[in-house]
Amino acid sequence: MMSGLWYLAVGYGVMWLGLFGYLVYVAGRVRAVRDELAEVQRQLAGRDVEQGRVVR
Amino acid sequence: MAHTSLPVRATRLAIGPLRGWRELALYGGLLALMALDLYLIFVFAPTERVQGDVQRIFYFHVGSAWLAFVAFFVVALGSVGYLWRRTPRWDYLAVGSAEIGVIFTTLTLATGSIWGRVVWGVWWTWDPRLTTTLVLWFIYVAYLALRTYLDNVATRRRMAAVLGIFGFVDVPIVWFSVQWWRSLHPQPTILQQGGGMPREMLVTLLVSVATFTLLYAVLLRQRFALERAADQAAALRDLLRAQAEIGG
Amino acid sequence: MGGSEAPGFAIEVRGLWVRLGRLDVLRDVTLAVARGERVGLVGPNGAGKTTLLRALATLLSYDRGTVRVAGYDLPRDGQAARAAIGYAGHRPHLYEHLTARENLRFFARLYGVADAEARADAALAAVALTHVAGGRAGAFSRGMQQRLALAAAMAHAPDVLLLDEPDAGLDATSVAHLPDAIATLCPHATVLFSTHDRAVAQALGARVVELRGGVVAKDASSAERVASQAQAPAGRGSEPPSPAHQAGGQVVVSPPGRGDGGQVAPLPAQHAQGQVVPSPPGRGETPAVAWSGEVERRPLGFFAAASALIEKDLRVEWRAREQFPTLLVFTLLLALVFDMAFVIPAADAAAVAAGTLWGSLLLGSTLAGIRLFAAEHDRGTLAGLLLAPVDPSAVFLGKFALLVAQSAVVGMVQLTVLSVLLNVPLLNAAMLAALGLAAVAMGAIVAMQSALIVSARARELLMPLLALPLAVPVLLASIGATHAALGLTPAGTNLPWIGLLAVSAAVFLSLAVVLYPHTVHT
Repeated sequence: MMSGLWYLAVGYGVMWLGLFGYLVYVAGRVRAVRDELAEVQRQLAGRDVEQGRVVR
Repeated sequence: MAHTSLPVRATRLAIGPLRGWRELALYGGLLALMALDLYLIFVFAPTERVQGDVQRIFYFHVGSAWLAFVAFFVVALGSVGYLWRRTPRWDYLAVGSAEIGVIFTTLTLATGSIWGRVVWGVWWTWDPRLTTTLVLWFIYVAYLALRTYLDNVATRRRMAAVLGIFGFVDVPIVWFSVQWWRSLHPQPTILQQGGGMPREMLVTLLVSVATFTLLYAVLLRQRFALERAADQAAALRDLLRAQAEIGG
Repeated sequence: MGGSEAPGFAIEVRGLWVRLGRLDVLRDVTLAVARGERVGLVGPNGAGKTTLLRALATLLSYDRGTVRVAGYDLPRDGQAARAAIGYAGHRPHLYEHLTARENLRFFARLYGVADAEARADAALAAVALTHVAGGRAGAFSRGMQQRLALAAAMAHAPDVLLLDEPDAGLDATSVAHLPDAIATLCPHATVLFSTHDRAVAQALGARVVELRGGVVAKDASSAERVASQAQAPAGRGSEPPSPAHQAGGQVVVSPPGRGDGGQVAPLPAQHAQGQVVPSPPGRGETPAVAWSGEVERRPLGFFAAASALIEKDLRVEWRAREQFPTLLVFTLLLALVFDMAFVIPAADAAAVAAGTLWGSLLLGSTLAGIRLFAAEHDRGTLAGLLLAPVDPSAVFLGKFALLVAQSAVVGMVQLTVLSVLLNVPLLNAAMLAALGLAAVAMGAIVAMQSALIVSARARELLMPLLALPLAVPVLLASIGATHAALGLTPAGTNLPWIGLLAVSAAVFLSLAVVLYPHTVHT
C-alpha cells in the first residue's frame, strides 16, 4: 500500500502542477497584454498631444 | 473606431490584482471550497477496501473529466453563439473554454494513467472512458491547432466555430463506438465505482465535482477577460497603424 | 420587397461601412446608380474600390449600412441577387484546364441560362475569342484571360455588371472594344467599374465617382454635401470642406464639363428623389428600360447545381490528372507499409488485413481531401463558385460527392488487391456495404474539414489532425464490420457496426451540409 500512497501523491502533485502551470501561463499572457495596452495607449495619447487634440 | 483616446474601461481588466468585493468573494469562495474538498478527499472519505488509499485519485480524476466535459460543451455553446450572433464575445468563450478543456483533459489522462498503474500495473488501458478521453484530447487539440494556423481573425472565429460544433456532436458517437468495440474486446476498466458507493464517498464525489465546476468558472472568467483584452489591444494597434498611414 | 420589377436604382448604397480585419476600408459610403447607367470608380490604390465592388457582388459582408443591388437587399436576398449580378475581379476565376468554351458553358449553365451552349458561343464572339474557343484557358495570355473573364461575367446577361479594373492587362484595341462587348452581351445592364484610367471611363460614357480613403460624398448637390460634412465624426477632417472638392478622405465628384467629354450628367436632385435619370445621349444607347435581357435565366435547382459542379470537377480532374491515379497508388503503398510493419502470423491474417485495409483507406481519403476546396481557393476559382446563384450546400454536396466517388473506387481496388495479396476473402456484400457507408461518413468529415482549412497554413498537417480523431467511430465500426464479415467475431455482431456506420454517415453529412454555408461563404 505504500507504493499506492506514493502514486496518490504523484497524482495529487500532477493535478496541482497542471493547475498552477496554467495559472502561471495565463498570468504571463495577462502581463503581456497589459503592457501592450499601456504601450498603445501611450502612443495614442502622445499622438493626440502632438496634434493638439483633447486627450480624454 | 473614430476615437483617438482609449475608452478608459478597456484598461481596467478583470484579471490580476483583486478589485472589489465580488472578485474577493469569488476567489475566497473557491479557496474555501477547495480546502473543504481536500479535507473530504483525504480525511473524510473512507479508504477503499480493495485498492487502498490510491483510490482517492478517483475524486480528482472524475472532477477533471467532468470539468473537461463541461468545457467542451461550452465550446459548442460559444461556437453556436458565434455563428448565430457573430459577436466576438462568443468566440472568447469558445477559445477560453477549449484551452481550459484541453488542460484538464490532459490531467484526466494523467491521473487515469497513474491510477491504472497502481490498480492494474499498466500505464495505459483501453478502458472506454480513457479511450474516449484520449480521442477528445485530439479533437480539441486540433481545434486549437486550426485556430493557430488561420491568420485572418474573422475566418479563424468562423471556422473554429464550425469545428467546435462538429467536434462536439462527434463525441457521443465516439463514446458509443468505443463502448461497443470494448464490449467485443474486453479490457480492464479504470472506474469500478458505480452503484453501491458508500454515502461518504458519494458526498466527497459531489463536492469534488462542485469544486471543479467553480474552478472552471473562475478560470474561464480569467481567460475570457484575457482574450477580450488581447483583442482590444490588437484593435488599437491597428487603429494606430491606420492613423499612421493616413498621417492623421 | 425585392425582385427585378422594382423601379428605382440598380445599385443603392447607403452609409456603408466595411471592415476588413480591424481596418475600416469603407466608411459611410453612399452611392446611387440608376438603371442602365454607367459609373466609373476612380481613386488611388487602397481607396476601397475593390472592396466596394466585392461588397456589391456579395463576396464581402458589411458591418453597417444598406445595400441594394438589382432591387435585392443584401445580404438577405443574396442568392437571388447573384443571378442578376456579373462580376469580374482582379483575378480571373477561370478554370485553367477547361477550354474557353467549356468555361463559358459552365458559368452560363451555373447561372441557369436556358441555352448555355449558344450563349457561350455568343459571348466568345463578343470578346473576339472565337478563334481560340477550344484552347485551354490556362494557355491564354493575360489579355485573353481578361477578355474571357469579362465574357464569363456577362455570360448570363446580368442586370448589374461589376468590373474591377476591366482594362487591366488589355491593350488599347481591346479596351476600345469593351463597350461594344458590353452592348452586345448585356445592353441593358448597369455597369459599375473601377479604373485607374479616366480615359476608359470616358470611353464607356460613364459618370465618374472618386473614392479616397474609403469615403465617397453623398449623391447630393454641393450644398447638401457641405451640410452633411458638418455631421462627420470628430477628428476625421480638419479643414472646412469647399463645395466641389474636399480634403483628405473626401470625395471629388466631377461636375460636368470638367474633362469627362461632357458626357456626364450633372448630379441631379432627382437622384435624391429616387427617380430614374435618363442617360445622356451620345456614346451608344443605354436606355434604362427593361431589366432582363433577351437571355432567359432559370435558377438551377439544388441537385442540378450540384451535378453541374460535379461534372465540372470531373472534367477538370480528368484533364489535370492530378489526384486520382496518385491517390490509388498511394493507398496501395500504405497497404504495403502496414503489412510490412505488422508481420503476419497466419492465424492473425484476417485481423491484420482489416487494419491494413481501413488504415490505408482512411489515411488515403484524409490526404485526398486536403485540396478539395483549397485547390479552388489557390487557383482563384472559388470566387466563381461563391458568386453563383446556387445554394451553398449544393457546392458542398458537389465536392462531397466527388470525394465519395473517388473513395469508393479506390476502396474497391484496395479490397480486390488485398484479397489477393493477403489471401483473405474481402469481396462480399457485407464488406461492400461497409465500404459504401464508410466512404459517405469519411467523405462528409473530410469535405467539412477541407472547407475549414481553405485559407490555413500547413494544410497538409492540419487535415489529418482534424479529420482522424473525428473519424474514430468510422474506423472502429469499419474494422468491427470487417471482423464480423471475416468470421473473427460471432455472426450477429455485423449489424450493429453497419448500423453505427449508417448513423455516423447520416449525422456527419447532415451536420456538414448545415454548417458548410458558414465556412467559405460570407
